[in-house]
Amino acid sequence: MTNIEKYKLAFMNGLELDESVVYENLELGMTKEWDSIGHMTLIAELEDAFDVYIDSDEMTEFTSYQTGMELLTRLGVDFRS
Amino acid sequence: MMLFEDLEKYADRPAVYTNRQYTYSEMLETADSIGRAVGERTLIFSLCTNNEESLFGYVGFLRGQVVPVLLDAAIPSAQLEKLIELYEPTHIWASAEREDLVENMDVLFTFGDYALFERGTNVQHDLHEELALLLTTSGSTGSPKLVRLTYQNLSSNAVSIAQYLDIQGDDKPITTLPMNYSYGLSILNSHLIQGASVILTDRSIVQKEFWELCRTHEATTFGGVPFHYEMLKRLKFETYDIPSLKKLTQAGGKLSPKLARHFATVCERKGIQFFMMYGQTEATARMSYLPHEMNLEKAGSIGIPIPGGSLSLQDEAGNEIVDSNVTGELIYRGDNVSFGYAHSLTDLANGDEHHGVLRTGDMAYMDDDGYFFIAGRMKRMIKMYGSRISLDEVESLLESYGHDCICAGEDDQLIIYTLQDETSEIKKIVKAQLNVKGVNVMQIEQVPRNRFGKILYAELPKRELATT
Repeated sequence: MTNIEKYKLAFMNGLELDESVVYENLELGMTKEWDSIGHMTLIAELEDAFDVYIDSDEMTEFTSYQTGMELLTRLGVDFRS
Repeated sequence: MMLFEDLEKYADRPAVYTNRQYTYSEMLETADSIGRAVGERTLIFSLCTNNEESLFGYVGFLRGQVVPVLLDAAIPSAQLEKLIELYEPTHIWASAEREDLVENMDVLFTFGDYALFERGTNVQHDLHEELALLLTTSGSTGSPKLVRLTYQNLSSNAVSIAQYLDIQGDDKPITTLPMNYSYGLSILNSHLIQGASVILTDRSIVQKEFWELCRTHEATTFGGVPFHYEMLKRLKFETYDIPSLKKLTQAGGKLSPKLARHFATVCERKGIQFFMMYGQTEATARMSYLPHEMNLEKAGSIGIPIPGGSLSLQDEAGNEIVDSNVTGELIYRGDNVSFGYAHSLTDLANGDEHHGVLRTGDMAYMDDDGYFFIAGRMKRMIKMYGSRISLDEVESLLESYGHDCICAGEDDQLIIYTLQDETSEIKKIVKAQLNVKGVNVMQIEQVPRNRFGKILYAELPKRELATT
């Protein structure tokens, strides 16, 4: 599985989404499934999937599909592979 | 005494911070126009979110003696329709863009993003003269069972809360809970009657903007259910520097002993008073609280009755338990005990069925110093993120969709068991109809039963076997 696939899968599991969703448009507080409860599950999924630790500041700055990728890139995840 | 009837005295004080600031006078002017637009004392629905439209509507309805049912603005259309059929509201106060309403109803009045929709029915509502407000008992199953609250219920609970939390005009709560949820509403009520200023936001504590609002407006307090405190721990709240915060409250389920100790310690160090409290919608909101200076000494306790209320314990035969450390059903008495439930419009004419006495359904005991401790629940109820859910109601909901399931679990962990290969269908129904997260659906081989056929809930598997 590529990292981008792993990333999508974490969203799917964490927010209980199906495949029809346009993942690139997901936004915390705007997407119905992505509320604070979903956010915590999603963070746990991402930490498991990429074996990283997302700290408190990062958690509150991670608010969209895009910013999540930027965050993980900073933590050393390479989305080109 | 009617809640909010003398808010005029706070005139130019700030009442609400949203994108802009509203004084009490400004709030009341709009609130009263919304109330007047309805006109008569009828039953209406108000679809709430934490914005000025919802709050002003609520204040206006109470002041105008219009009786609102407060519902979550995110209520699915099918659930809303079912409630409309049962309760026949004359008007609905909701987002002007709500499609299921725009199509069928006329708009009488607008404020901000909200519109007052008129249903155009001729139904005459026979409402008990003391009835003020209706709240749902469970946020998510869409159950039509509502709690009937009176003007006296609301005002006595708000006054009592303001007293034991020592709420003053310079307090500034920031919203963390929905206002259609009794705990969220009680925070608004108890602060507005004291002339405090409410910071309204739909941002959650996992968002940076929430904490920016806290700092900009110098929030002094907020409330949270156990899940909020789990998040706060994960967010390392102990490292936050927000000097304006003076008081945190917790209700909506029991905090784990570990979290309770953690926040008692962290708050003490930060000079924040941390209040753990207990209540139910059937008692408007609060029934007891733990005085913050007792947090460590009486860890795990729901504390003592709120001012004006009393707690007692009853054994199975209905006799009062006078000895300490003996478990029985917890009984609450006070002016904040609701009139009872409603299941449809006709119940709204009914009078007081509880007479100030509430059987909580919780098992508890009292220690030698008069502090109460919850030992368990009598009914098959769990709390999901602060909202009560009846496991039997979830089972019957699924049954209505043709799925024969068993529900079990504990707070924040609902597990649905089925014998069929239908877990994904069930997940879809749960998602669309139940509106709760963190539900586990498991397929099992057989239902563990004793020789009388009674289900042995304790023997159901707790976790899915890791096969994937």
